[in-house]
Amino acid sequence: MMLVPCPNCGPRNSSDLRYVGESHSRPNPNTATPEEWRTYLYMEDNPAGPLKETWYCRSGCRQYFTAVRNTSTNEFENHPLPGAKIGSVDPSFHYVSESKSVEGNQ
Amino acid sequence: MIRLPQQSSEVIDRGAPLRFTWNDKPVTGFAGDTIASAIAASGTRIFARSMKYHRPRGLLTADFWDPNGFVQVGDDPNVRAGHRLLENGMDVSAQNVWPSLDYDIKAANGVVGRFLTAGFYYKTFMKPASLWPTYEKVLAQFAPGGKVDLSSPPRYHDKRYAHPDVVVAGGGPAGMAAALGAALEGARVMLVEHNHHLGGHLLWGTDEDRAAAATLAEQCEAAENIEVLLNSTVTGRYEDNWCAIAQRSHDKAVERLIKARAKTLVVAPGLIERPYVFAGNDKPGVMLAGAARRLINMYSVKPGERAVVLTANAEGDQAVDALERAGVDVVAVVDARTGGNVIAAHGGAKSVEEVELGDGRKIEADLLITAVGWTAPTSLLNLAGDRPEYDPVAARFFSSKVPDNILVAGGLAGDGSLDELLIHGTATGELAARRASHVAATLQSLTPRAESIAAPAGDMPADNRNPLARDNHPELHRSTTHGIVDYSEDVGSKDLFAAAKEGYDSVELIKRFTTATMGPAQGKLETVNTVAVLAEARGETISEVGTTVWRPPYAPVTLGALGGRIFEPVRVSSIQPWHEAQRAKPILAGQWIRPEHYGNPAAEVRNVRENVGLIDVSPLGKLDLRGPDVPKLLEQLYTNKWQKLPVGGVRYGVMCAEDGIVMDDGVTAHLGDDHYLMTTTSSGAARVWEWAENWLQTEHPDWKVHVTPVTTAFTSINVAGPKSRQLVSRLTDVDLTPDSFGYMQVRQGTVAGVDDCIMWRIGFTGELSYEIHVPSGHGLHVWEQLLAEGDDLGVKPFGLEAQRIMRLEKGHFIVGQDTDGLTKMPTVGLNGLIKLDKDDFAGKAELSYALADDSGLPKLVAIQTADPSIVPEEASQIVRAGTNEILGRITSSRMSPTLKRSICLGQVASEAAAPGTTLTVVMTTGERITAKVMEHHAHFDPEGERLRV
Amino acid sequence: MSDFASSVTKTYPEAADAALTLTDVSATAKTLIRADITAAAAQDLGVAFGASRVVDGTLVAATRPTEWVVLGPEPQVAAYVAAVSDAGHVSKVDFTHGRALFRITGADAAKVLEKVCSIDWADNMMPDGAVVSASLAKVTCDIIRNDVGDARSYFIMSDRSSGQYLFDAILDAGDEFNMGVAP
Repeated sequence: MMLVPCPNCGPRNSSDLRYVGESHSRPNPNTATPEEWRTYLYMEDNPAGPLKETWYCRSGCRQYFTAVRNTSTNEFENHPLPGAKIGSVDPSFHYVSESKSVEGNQ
Repeated sequence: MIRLPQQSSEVIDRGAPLRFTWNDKPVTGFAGDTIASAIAASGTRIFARSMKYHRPRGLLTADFWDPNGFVQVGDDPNVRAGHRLLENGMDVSAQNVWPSLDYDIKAANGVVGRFLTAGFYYKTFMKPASLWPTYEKVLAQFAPGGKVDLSSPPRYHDKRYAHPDVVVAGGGPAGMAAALGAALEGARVMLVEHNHHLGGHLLWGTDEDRAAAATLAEQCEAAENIEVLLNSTVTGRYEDNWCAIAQRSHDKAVERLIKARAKTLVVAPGLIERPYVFAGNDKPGVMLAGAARRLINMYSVKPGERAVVLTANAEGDQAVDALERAGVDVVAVVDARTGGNVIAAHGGAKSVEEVELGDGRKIEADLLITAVGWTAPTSLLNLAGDRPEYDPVAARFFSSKVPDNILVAGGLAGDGSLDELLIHGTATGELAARRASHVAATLQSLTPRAESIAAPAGDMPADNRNPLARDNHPELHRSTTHGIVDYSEDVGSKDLFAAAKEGYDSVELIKRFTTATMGPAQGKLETVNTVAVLAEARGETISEVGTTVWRPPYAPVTLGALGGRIFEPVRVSSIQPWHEAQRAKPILAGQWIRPEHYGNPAAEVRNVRENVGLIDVSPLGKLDLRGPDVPKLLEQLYTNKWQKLPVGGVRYGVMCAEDGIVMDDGVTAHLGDDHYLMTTTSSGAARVWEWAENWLQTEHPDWKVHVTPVTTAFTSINVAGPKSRQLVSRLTDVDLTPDSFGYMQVRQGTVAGVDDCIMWRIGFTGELSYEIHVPSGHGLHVWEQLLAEGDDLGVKPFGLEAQRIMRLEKGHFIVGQDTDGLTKMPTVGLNGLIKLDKDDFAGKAELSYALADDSGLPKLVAIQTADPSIVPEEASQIVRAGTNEILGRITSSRMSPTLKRSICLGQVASEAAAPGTTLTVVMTTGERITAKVMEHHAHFDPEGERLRV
Repeated sequence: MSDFASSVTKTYPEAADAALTLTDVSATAKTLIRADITAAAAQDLGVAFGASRVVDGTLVAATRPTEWVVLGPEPQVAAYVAAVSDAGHVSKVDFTHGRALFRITGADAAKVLEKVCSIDWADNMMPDGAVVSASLAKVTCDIIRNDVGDARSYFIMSDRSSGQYLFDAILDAGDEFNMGVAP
């Protein structure tokens, strides 16, 4: 289980927090077009890399906070445990090599 | 096999004989025996039948990973006989055999084995799909595994968390040295050993090995800051060194899951000996060198009479010594390092009889020992993102990259003499401790409640260990013949060749198609051979083919251990003991246990309508709101206006999410200057609190509002019915006359002698009612006083069901019952409460779009069936007459005791929502009935005269 | 006025002399104080988030960054709370009835807690006086370490409605350490 660096409590198990979502600023509800408003409601950037997120420290300080997490490595900016993570998982991790024709090899 | 005279190395206690049965025959073993060693010592060679072909099988590894050592012990299926310690009175039997181990009818599968090739089941039992249930029944007869006894009483399992500095996975020489090294540096260490003894491979080694193991084990056991967990396994390593440890050696729990946050993890599981693939390699009597050494040296069991030994390493050579010492006639030692090879093991069904060598010789023997190399069990490293790489010179996989909080020691790291392994292990432990100390200081410095220290500077201490060397080892996987690769799954090298030819030629595909590596050994014995055979089939190297990814758990855990002690919090009101004493029928609503009724909900409804009733509504969510900016918060959360609610007033409001969906509703009372009490639905209390905090913390940090959840600070009692005023007035100092305490007003005062009660008039049931919020420590007292004082008025308790009936009679919707995750506020018919002229409120944007044109939104309407005696089930569909086109659904339905007819609420398309519209409702039987849309939501007293009196 | 009734309504055999004890002290007066950390009240209270102190016969614990709980006998709590500055935006909410309060005391107390909670109870991470909020057996609690002489001791404060459940969950966890219920 991932440790999430709560600015008030210190590093806590991710199950102690609620993941609120990507941090986007709220448009003005009086002037936003439906498209702008629904982009805010439903669209996520979902980058493979640094992402600004909102967390809620549900079991701890009960505070909302934002943090930047690298979604490829789960490393938070200013990660409390330097060196404790290694690079992102190689996409070839699960299927190690290309299939080749066995016929051709025999 | 027979028991040898006492050996200096044995772990059995000959002074403590244990009696048990093996397939109903009485057998005697000794304390310290595994089930397998005791059975072997009794002369048994056949332990099991193979999964598909039902070929007889004997011990292969004689340890935890033995694919042939699964037995039933009493009601406990799939027990690993090579690992589980013998106990007195055990009832042990073979699995997957019928009618008996020695004579197995299904062995006929072996005769027709050529039809049972890889993918046989996929191909044969695919069509027609209508026969799948039949196939399943037939195939289930052939499924391997023991018998589950559903009548077995549940056993106690347990869970605990731990925060050690260093977790050492593996209690062999390297692991023990690491634990001691780390402990000497001051670290708190958890040393986890899979087997029953510390020592690893030293236990079945030479006298010097065992002496060294004993010394190290004593030091570990004696060290104050080392917690030794025997018969326990680090089954997985997850993010930030979150380690799952299955402890099978707890004195109270059958199995206990330890969730350990290790500051550093030392991975030292040792190496697992790999079988060799050749014809007949699964015959009883073909055994790995480690198995022979364990049987002889630890359990004093003589594994056979005449042995051939195929050896490619020192461990194989040592097996020769052990066999000779045990009196086994070693008739041939075939040295693979100089080109020796074994081609086949021949023999009858029950044992090897003859061994065919690469040079053409055929040698009579009942035992064939192989020592052809190792599998590196890198699971924990894989889980940390490592991708081990194959080294053809050492003929095994090695770690390529791991995070700084993981260190590798022992056979996974390299080879060496015992001294070299210990020096490397000690250095690993010391480094692990120093890095753990760095991590610990970082965690501590970031944690305000901890003792204050400065954050450590810089990165973790560098790795200055002298690496272990790697010994040369010949690559030995398959001989010139075909044999079994996966013993548990009965997959042979021929199957793998065939699968590769069919196109399943990537390692992950061939695994899934043939099920090789997917059995209970989970690749510990067969992964490398699978990869090697595939490489051969593809004409490539092992490095090119790569390997499958090890996944958790490292070793199987029971479901009981994963469940641990189950935490399922329940919540009860302070009146619950009274409800239980009255035998109220309980209902679980969210986490709350509440009375559904006290016997007759219809009578409870009638009593409220005619006299007066009490309901415990304590789960009602309550938030104490204080501060000058509370009205701003209320305006932000609710869709309606709050600035002008006077002190003493109560107002109803609806909350929507930002997508305009109805989220919660309730009333909020203005108690005093800058002081309000908000109520929410019972299930919404936590959500609304977090929602309010979200607005205050992220959008409006300048607003001065304190939100405090006080749901259970008050016991909430609703006194409802025409005689409620008469009843409450007997117990309170609050003036209840209608002129001074009107509908939708709040007062504070004393009730039944309890100060600081809050009381308001609202009308969920439709009757005159007083909802009294009593400080919870006195809740039961007030409840009992109300019942006692109202006896002459006919006061009776009523439950949740009666309340639901009455609110339906009144047409009040329930969030989550009559609304769902798509219900925008215009649907519920309260557009008058949406105040778009407010500057802002949650959901305003979506609601403004919705109000501009709400014709596409369904409408919540009251519905009555044409036949008053028919109550359609909730969620019954409403369709266009004569078609299956869905127009809506019934959301609530009950028989009304007041109106003596069926009443409903439902959501229908706006075209069908006009009062008087005839609807077609599809009953769960398929029958269609007609119903009518009513003019008002309220079926009863639509003008609300009763509640305003 | 009727006597205060605790949420723990079951009765247990008393084991006052057990080495490890669990005690229901729910009747203790509890007041919640909310204030900005810049408010005079925060100065009066004198402890920051994660810490507690004993003052004027009460235990003052900073349970959130802007929230304190004052525990103790009713008159002392009332007197102490009244003396805390009301300057600025300060709320004082009587919590006596809203929370269950237990005390677990004994050398093995932390071993019991680590069976129901994922927090690190080591002395350096949770010294005497430290305060933490965490999930105990899936119930969110405020936990205050408050040693009694040399004996390790923790106050556990949960929502009242979960009190009986939590009391039993802790007792079950303490079974292997021979925990007893003390008056």
